[in-house]
Amino acid sequence: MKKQLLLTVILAALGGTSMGANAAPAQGMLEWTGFVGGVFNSTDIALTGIGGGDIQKGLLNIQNDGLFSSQRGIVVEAHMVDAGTGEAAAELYDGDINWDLASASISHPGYDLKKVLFQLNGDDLVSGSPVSTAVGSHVVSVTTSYAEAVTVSPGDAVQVSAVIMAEPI
Amino acid sequence: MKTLIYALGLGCSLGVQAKVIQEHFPVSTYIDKGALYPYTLTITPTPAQLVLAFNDTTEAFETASTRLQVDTDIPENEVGLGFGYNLNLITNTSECRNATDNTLTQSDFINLKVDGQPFTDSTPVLAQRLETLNAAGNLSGENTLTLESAVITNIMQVCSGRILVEAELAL
Repeated sequence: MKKQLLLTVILAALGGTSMGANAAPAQGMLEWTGFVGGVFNSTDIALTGIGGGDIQKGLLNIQNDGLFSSQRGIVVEAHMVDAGTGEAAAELYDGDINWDLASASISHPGYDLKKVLFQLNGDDLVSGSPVSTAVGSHVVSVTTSYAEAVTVSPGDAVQVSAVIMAEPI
Repeated sequence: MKTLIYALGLGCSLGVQAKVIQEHFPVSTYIDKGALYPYTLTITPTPAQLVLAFNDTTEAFETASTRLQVDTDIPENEVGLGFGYNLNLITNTSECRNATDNTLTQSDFINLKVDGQPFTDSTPVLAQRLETLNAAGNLSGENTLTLESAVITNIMQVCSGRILVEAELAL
């Protein structure tokens, strides 16, 4: 198993209104979502955030028409694995890598998951069509976007997550 | 034989008519005073959607709160009747699924509090006062609903939940 799994969490929330009910007794519904990130290292590659640190969460810029894009990319580094600890070594991985999208999710029901776009270093990241990086270029930036109008209301929360695999070529 | 039976029955009947009957009939009853008034109420969580942040140190979601705004169409001049409301928990679901294969890994890990007090389906919040006026000049109330997470035992999880709260008018 040479694949690496990486959970990238990208989230954003709009501030504002809510929902209500008009009956006696009345009912009010609250919905919540949350993601737990993390990395599964293999014997070959260990994924980290900037400088070997934790992978940071991202933020989305959401427009009034529901379109969104990453405020900035989530930086991911592919390192060698320290044979002694099994954790990330200081050195970046010394071979070429294929990056692939394993799965994704979005919290808001108004969005079509199939239309959520992911990019790695600006290239479209589509499941089954990996993006390659060569030795020396294993610091990548992951972003997401949505290009079609969606009805969102002030107060709606939108959260996107993706599981990305890094595999030695 | 038939004649004899009839005669016995007649004799018993005459005896009953001659006896004084004393019975007690309770006249108290339950009156649902809330149903006597045509008022309605609404409950509005603000925000109605929450994104819970995960704390890597505590390995749990950060505690989060929403405001429960209870509005009525009861005018201010009815305040003397002592209207209030109760909050009942109808649903509190929570689950985490593995982000890679969608298998269920954990459920029922969110505990609730209303204004700092435990809020469960068997522990409602009773006798809340409608003592403030909303923008329409009607009686209203407000509570804070807090979500507290237990430890999440796995990484790479997609988690979600739903909370349904009922507000009922009370006197």
